[in-house]
Order: sequence, then structure tokens, then C-alpha cells
Amino acid sequence: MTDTNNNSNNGYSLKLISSMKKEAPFDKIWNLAWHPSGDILATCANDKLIQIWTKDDKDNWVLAKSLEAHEKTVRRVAWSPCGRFLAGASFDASTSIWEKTKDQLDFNHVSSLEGHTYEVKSVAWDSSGTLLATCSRDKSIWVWQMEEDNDFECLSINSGHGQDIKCVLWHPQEELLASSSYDDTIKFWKDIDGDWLCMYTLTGHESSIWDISFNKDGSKLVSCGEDKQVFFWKYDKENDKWINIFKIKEENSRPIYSIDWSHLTNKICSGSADDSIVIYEEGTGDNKDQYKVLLKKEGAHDSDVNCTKWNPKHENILASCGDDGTIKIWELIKNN
Amino acid sequence: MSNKSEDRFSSVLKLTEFDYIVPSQICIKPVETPEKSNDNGNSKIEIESNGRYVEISEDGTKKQLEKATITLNDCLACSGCITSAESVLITAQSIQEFLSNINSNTTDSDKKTIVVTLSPQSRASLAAYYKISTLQVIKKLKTFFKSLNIDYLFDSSFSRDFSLLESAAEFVARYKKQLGEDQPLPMLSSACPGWICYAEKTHGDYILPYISTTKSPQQIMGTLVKYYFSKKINIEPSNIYHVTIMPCYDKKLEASRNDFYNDIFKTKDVDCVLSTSEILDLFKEKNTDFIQLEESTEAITSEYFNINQEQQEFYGVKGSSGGYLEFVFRYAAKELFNVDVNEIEYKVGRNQDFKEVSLEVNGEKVLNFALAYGFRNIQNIVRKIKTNTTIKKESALPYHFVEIMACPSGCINGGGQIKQEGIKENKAFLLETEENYNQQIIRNPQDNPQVQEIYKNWLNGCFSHDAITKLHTQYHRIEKTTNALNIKW
Repeated sequence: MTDTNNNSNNGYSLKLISSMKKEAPFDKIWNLAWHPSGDILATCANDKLIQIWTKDDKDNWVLAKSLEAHEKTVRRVAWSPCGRFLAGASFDASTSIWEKTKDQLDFNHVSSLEGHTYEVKSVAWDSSGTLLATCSRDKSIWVWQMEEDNDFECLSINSGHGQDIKCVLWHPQEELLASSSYDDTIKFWKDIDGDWLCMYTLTGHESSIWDISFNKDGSKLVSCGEDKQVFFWKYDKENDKWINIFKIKEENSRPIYSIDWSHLTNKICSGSADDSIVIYEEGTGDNKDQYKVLLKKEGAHDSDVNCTKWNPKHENILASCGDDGTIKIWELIKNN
Repeated sequence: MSNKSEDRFSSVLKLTEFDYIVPSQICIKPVETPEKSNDNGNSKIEIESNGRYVEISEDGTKKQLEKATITLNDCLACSGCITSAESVLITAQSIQEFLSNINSNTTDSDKKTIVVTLSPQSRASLAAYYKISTLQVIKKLKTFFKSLNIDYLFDSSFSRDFSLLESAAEFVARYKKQLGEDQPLPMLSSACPGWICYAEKTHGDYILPYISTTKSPQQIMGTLVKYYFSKKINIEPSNIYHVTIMPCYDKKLEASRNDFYNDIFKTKDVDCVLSTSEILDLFKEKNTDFIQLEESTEAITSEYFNINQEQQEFYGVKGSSGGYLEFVFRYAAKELFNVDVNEIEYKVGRNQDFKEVSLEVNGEKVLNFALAYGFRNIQNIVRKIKTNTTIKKESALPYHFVEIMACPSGCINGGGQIKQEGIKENKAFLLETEENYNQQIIRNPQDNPQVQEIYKNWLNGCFSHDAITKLHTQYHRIEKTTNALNIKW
């Protein structure tokens, strides 16, 4: 399949490599996650399923497995850094943990994390793979520790956000947790003598913050939201605080649901309710704290783009999914 | 919790039409705004674009309404389980409610006997706040309560002796499998209402059978006051107004349970619950300088008080959350294995609020107890039990008994205790409170002669049929109401 609409921006174009459609029509696909190997994709959707996609012998992306454990929508999926575990956060207020068999694409449902009062909105593993964070409409963030027997122990229950929490994400190197909320703020959490305390609160967004992403060394964070804006934040070591360094407005006509900072190329991709995918680039030299739009792919999906994620192994490859029930794999190409 | 915040609270409650239960009991009236606004109730409430609630009166003036602040925030476990209906019950149990009952209690014909039951954690908190001894607190309180025409001051350590004895006997019976499959092990303690509320709401199906049926000290005192003491002083249960002072807001919920309401006498076992910090508000309301009050032992009588004859020293148990683990452990070790436990050695878990203790007999672990305070540790206990019941592991139970309290550090740090600004200051204050709590002589509940007398004369002995009827309760699974809003994202 090739991309017919070959619009180019700044000498870049986004080439469609593959497109997969879920069998049942009208199933919104909420989120996707690349396996650390870069060769497997996990998706989750309205149909309560977590699905595993991979390439067949002929290099075509195909559905490999459907994992069934939830009674309601699965909102977010996350692979552990080692790739052995997959977590799914669901509106049924639970988070399911799956263990992948060593060499095959078989999965065992090893644990179910219960405790949230309402919908679980997001789940994230820390860089060591032993801590897991979940967040919910119940305004709480739970930190879990994985035990030897695949069971989990709750380390902390944090309250601090005034509203539904949309996203949790661990710092790529430190034991520092970030969360974004319907209360328009981003908060950072850290373990101080056994209690997880809110270290910083970032304000600036004018509405719900749907997604956040760290750059490779964790010195910067990018966020996007209902206010159609993308905010870039930087850790100011001297003053021990996170500051807003750059803002992008008016690129999208509707809310921006997802953002992902590539740890391979340092480029950033976003997906929006205006059906587009946008790629951003960091400035160089004195302009390191400035960002520009490299490319905007209009009509990337037939409906809202819910998630965009860079492949962790293969440069310039990204996957997207949306309300149109399709998963697309793209390559960012620099035209000669 | 100042009265101002309650006014605000009720005004916002009117915005939420759903889930509003009007309490039927005489003590709790529907929440009203005592301060009448001048608009004859014709004002409108609007939500502005920024999400603020604004009250617009007939003449068009706008007044921004404060957001409802639920005073249970201090206690994480509690804030997670409060619906607006329960908030109403809590708000109705206020110092205003208390004072209006006290003040209207003047006419001879329906004059009520007023009993106040004070918890040992509350007196410790007040002593730390005023930097005086717990004994001084009691003596000054007697003077204060006398001025409010209160007739009796009791001590919930007294009723706690019953609660401990019943819990221990219940545990032994469960251990011996005398109570059947619907009362299995591990036995989970039942004195914390925040925990009970949470268990009923979220884990009803599988966790309730594990919870001890023994009533809490507050509710046992309720039973004693209304159905034993009332006979002694020869009045109807409904002619006693019984107020408790507790370290915990959730005790208000506990007192409001239907299980503790008597249909025949139309009375609750505990009519009104005030938190320790609300006592400070009460002093303010009555323009009382507590520290200046006279110290009196005689001002009002205190039949049920764990204090020595000279009125100089308190009797109590170890453990500032009631000492359930320690007492049940010692009792069971003696009763089941004839082992006298001297010092209890705890193994501290992942955090200070999780401790374990076990008893080995002939190399075999025969008793394994845990203490789990705070929401996160509760979660882990619940998870362990659930895994155990669903997987039906043949391996041994994780625990035989768990003392569960919703608040980190337990009842001494209850949501209703006096707090200090700042984390450090509050920690130091908590330590002082704990020290004050320990100003007491440790006494085995079995050695309380009054308790033994009541067991003999009224209950036919510990864990007897009568004791189970009067000193035990039951729990109810609460169905989750499905949300009308279909969440799309």
C-alpha cells in the first residue's frame, strides 16, 4: 500500500507503510504500544480487547492475538522495558498484567490490579520495570511494585489532582513520576521516605492535558491537550523546577490527543482530533529550546487520531491509531 | 471544621439533587443553613464559564460559592469512600447539632439525660495541644461539660475492654472452626469505620465474612448507655442523649448506621459524634478559655471510666489504635497453645504502618498476625486475601488476624484529631499525642471488675448468646450504583 497523498513539508513526507483495520467496524482504537524489540505492536480498543500485531512471513502486519480480560474499554497499554510484561488499563477500574512467553506470542494473564474506584485511564512502567503506576478518574495515582511471584504490592496511593487523571509516565532514568490531568496541570511525584509526594506542579495548559512524553535523557517534557496546544517544558536544575520553554498553538484545529518524543531521532509526533499527524523538530545551536513543525499530515486517519508512537528500534518509523478503527504504520522520509 | 464551612457545604449540596438522603432520626435534622439569607430562597445558582458556582440573588447581586470541602481529606481512606449522602450525615453531626440539643434540653417534662463518652485518643490530642496532662484534660473537661448541663462523662476505653474481650473470644472460636464457613480466617478487626465503609462498598462479596462481628468501642458504649445504664438510672433509652468525642470523622458514619438504630425505642445508640478538633471549635463557640478552667474530679459523675480509685491514673491497653492485635495475640496464645507471651516483637514490613508478629510452637508457625494501617496497606491485605480465596491455594493462610486501621499511624493520627500546620510540626505533635496516650497503667481487660460485673449481670458471660446479640453486629454489601454518564474517554 502506498500513500497517494504525498504532500511534503520542509522536504519531509510521511509515507504509509501499512494499514490494518480492526474486524469489527466502528471500534475506536484508543492506544498502542511498541514492544521494545520494535517488531510487535499492542493496541487496545472499545471492544474491551487488547490486541497483538506483528509481521507475517511476507512482511505484512497481521493480527496475532486478542487478549480478553476486561469488562469495559481498555484505554491504554504499556510494555515493561524488558518486553516480558504487558499492562492494560481499563474503564472496568482494573489493570491487567500479561506475561509473554519467551519466544512466542503467547500471553498469560498473570495479575489483575484492582483498587481504583472508577475508570483507569493510564498505566506506565518505570525504567527498571519493577514499578508500575496507574491513574484514574477517581483522581488518584497508585504506585505498584512487582513482586517475585508476579504479584503486585501497592506502595502508595497519591491524591493531589483535582480531577480525572489522563496520563501517567515515568522519567526515563529516575524514579520520578509525571501525571497529567483534566485539572489542566502536570504534576511530578517522588518517593520521599516511603511516601510519594508531589514535587512540582506545572500550569499553563488551558484545558485537559491528554498526553505527555519525555525526551531521551528526561531533561525535557512535552505535553498536549484539549486546548489544541503543545507545551515544551525543561527542568531548571538551578532553581529545581520545571519551566515552560516553548508553546505551539494553532497548528491543530481540534484537540491533540497524543504526543511522543523519539529517543532515537529526537523528533516529536502528535495525533489530533482534526485527523492529522504532526511532526515537530527541535532547534539546533542557540535555538535548542525552540521547536518547529516539520510536517503536518492531514487526513492521516478518517477520524480522530488517538495515538501516535515512534518505533523504539527503527528510526523514523511510527504507528498511529484512531477512531476509524485502523492502525497505520508510517515512515518519515526526507525527500531529496 | 468550622461552622462557616458547613454553611458553604450545605449550599453546594443543594446543587446535587442526587443521592441526598434525609436522615429520619430525631438527632439529625436535614442540613439547613442556619444563617438565613435575605432572598426568601429565590436566588439562583449558576455555573460560570470558568466552572465556578455563583449564587445570584433576586436583586442581581452575585456571590461566589465556595467549593464543597469534605473534612475527611486528612484521612485518605475516608475521602475515597464518601458519597454526598454520607457527607450529609457527617454535616448533620456537628457542634451546632450538639448545641441545639443541649440548649433545648431545658423543659422538665422531656428533659434528657446527657452522656458524653470521650475516647483516650481525643484526651491525648487535647493534652498535646494545651501542653497539659491527660488527667488535667479530664478535670477541665468535667468543669466545661458541667457548664453545659451534661450529666455524665464516660471513657470509651471502658467499652473497649468489652470489644477486646469479644474480639479475642471470637478469634479463638474462628480459629477452632466453631463458627462455620461463613466466619473464616484471617479475622480482620472491625473497630475502624473507614475500613468497614470501604470494605462494604468495594469488596463486599468476599471480604465481609472475614471481618470480626464485634462492635467497636464507640458502639458498645452506645449499647451500654442506652440499654444497660438507662435501666440503672431508670429512664427510657430515648431519654438519653449520647454524644461521643472521637479521633475520627468516620465514627459519625458508624453511629448513623441503621444497625445501631432501635426501631422500638426510636433512638440511636450514639446520637451525635464530635471529633477532637471540633471540641476546639466548641470552646470557641462557647468563648471558653480551656486552659483557665478549674480542674474538678467531682463536677460530673463518670461511672464507666478506666481510672483508678484515687482518680489519679488511667487504665488502658498498649497500642494507640485500641491494641487489638496485642490483646488478641496474647489471649489466643494462652487459650489455644497455653503460651504466655511477654514482649511482642514486631517485624516491620515495607513501611512503619505494616508490622507482623508470629508465634511458633514446636517449630511450627501457629499464629501469624499483622497490623496494617493506611489505605495502601489495606489494599495489600485485601489483595492477599482475594488471591488466596480465588486461587484456593493449599498453602497456609497469609495471616490469622489483621488489625486494620484506615489512617496512617492508626487512630492516634485519626482524621478528627487536632492537626498542626506543616509536616514536621505535625509529626512532632503526633509523637507528643502518643506519649500522652501512654500516660496510663496497662491493665488486662479481663481484670476490669466493672466489665466482669456487667458480663455477669447482663450478658451471661463473654461471647455468650446474649453478648453476641448485644455486642456484635453485621455488615452489608453495598451495590455499586452504575454511573448514568457513559464515559467516552
